Amino acid sequence: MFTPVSNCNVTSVAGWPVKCDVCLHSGVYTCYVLTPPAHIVPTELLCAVNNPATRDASFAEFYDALSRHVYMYALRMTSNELDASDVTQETFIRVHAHLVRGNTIVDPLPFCLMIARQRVINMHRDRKVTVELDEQHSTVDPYIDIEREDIREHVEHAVARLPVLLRDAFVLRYYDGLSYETIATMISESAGTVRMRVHRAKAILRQSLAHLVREKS
Amino acid sequence: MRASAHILIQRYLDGELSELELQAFLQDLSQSPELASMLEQEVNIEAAIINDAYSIEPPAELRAAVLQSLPDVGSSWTLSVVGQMALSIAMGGVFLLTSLVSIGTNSMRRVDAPASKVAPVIATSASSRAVEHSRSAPGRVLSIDASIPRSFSSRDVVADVESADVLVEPTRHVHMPFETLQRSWGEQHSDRFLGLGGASVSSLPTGLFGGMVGTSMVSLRYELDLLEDSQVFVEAGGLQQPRTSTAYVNGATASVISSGISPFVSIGIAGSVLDLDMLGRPISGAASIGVTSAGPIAIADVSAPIIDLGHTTLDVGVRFSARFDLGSRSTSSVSAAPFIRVGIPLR
Repeated sequence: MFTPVSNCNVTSVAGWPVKCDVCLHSGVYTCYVLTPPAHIVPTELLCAVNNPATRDASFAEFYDALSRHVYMYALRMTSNELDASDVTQETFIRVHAHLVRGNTIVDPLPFCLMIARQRVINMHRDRKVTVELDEQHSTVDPYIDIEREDIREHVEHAVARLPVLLRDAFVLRYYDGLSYETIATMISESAGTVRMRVHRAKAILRQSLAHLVREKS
Repeated sequence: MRASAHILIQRYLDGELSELELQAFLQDLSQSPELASMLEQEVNIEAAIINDAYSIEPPAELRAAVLQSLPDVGSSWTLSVVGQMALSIAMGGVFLLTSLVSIGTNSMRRVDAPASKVAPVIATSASSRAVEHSRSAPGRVLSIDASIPRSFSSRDVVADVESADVLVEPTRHVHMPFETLQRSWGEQHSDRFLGLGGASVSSLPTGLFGGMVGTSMVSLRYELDLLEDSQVFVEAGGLQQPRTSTAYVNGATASVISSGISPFVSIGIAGSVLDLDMLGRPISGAASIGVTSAGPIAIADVSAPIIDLGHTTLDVGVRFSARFDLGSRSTSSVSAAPFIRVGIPLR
């Protein structure tokens, strides 16, 4: 039986679910803090990047702050490390060109992800290999998953099998930590649509990862 | 039931439940083992996903590849505000200096004759034939000083007349339209220097070489008398305009106004659009289309001369431009800015 408490001591999670001491001893699971990796771009850095005089000197730091999220999105959307590297590289080149033309960036992560997303869409379109599977067609082969020992590989495989539209919203939400409203603005859809896509993606993952969840339980 | 429970759990994990909903949810959670099991399942899935997110790192070599692939700072067309101002002032100075040098060059050639033999006189009669006559007379050279034709209106013109053999020509009244004088002057001085940086422009067709400096632009324009009443021109320079870009701020779009200088080149047509006799000064207009480093541009301007030295004019006017930025997000901007133009006729 779960007894929710509000004085959980856990402030971050850097791996497989952990519990704070209080909650662990109480047998409480609601204190999991599920936060994706931070993507903090300090105001000083943003100002430096927007300033033509300091732009090039500070761009490396800007890259360090955001490259992980851009690469994460690209990798989960392309399922290919080389493609993800290409997308990341092109994204930052375009961001730099955007700044060189005299423009400024206010909210860097959504801006970078928007460029990366466009590149990913172009990549899917150019290669014409997109086989849009509806969720009912994304069959799960439990034997393949059982073969895999690494949980991360299970998750990676399950996410890669998501339909592109659902995967897009899901990765932006869970890997990059964007709000439903920000995602909706990025992909020109309503927040309700984004929420529904994320929900459907999670329903598929729930099926795909059911055996893992049972094992963990 | 399970679907609605999953939605409720999701909203709980997202922190979107209201106070009342939260209390009800926690109450259900403490009483329903099934709901608690579902919550645990959901938490485990989310934790697995976030664990996956933490395990992803971009390749170390990608950083160097990205930074090396960025264009060099030196190739950037964007200058600092101070740089833009310095460039504008410098180019404006060059144009003004060029016009002064051309006047000085013309005057210095005339100094070949003894100064005492040069007799400034007040012209009392006007005839273009005087020029023709002088030109055809052997051994005589008529030189019109740059400072002479102060006006092409009905006022008298001060003229210096000299001859190579120290003969002083009679007083002449040069009273002719600007175009006539320009042609006459050009016919006689086709081999003389005029232009920027000392380059010979004698091979160029007759035209007007102009430098324009405005609050938001600096450019060179070369007008050709290809049409009867108007001129075709090519213009190139740098253009600074406020640019509106769009950025995402907390999920909402926001417009950000910035500025930068972009090179541009355009082609257009110029001519007199209004001739106000009461002012004695024609109002010229020009329209052109071209491209900048960011996209197409349409330019129109009106101007009037405030100083007219015959072969060198100083015009002031207003320039309107409509610029389209075909960058990552297409934007357009329209602006108006005053400018000063120095015009120097070639040949």
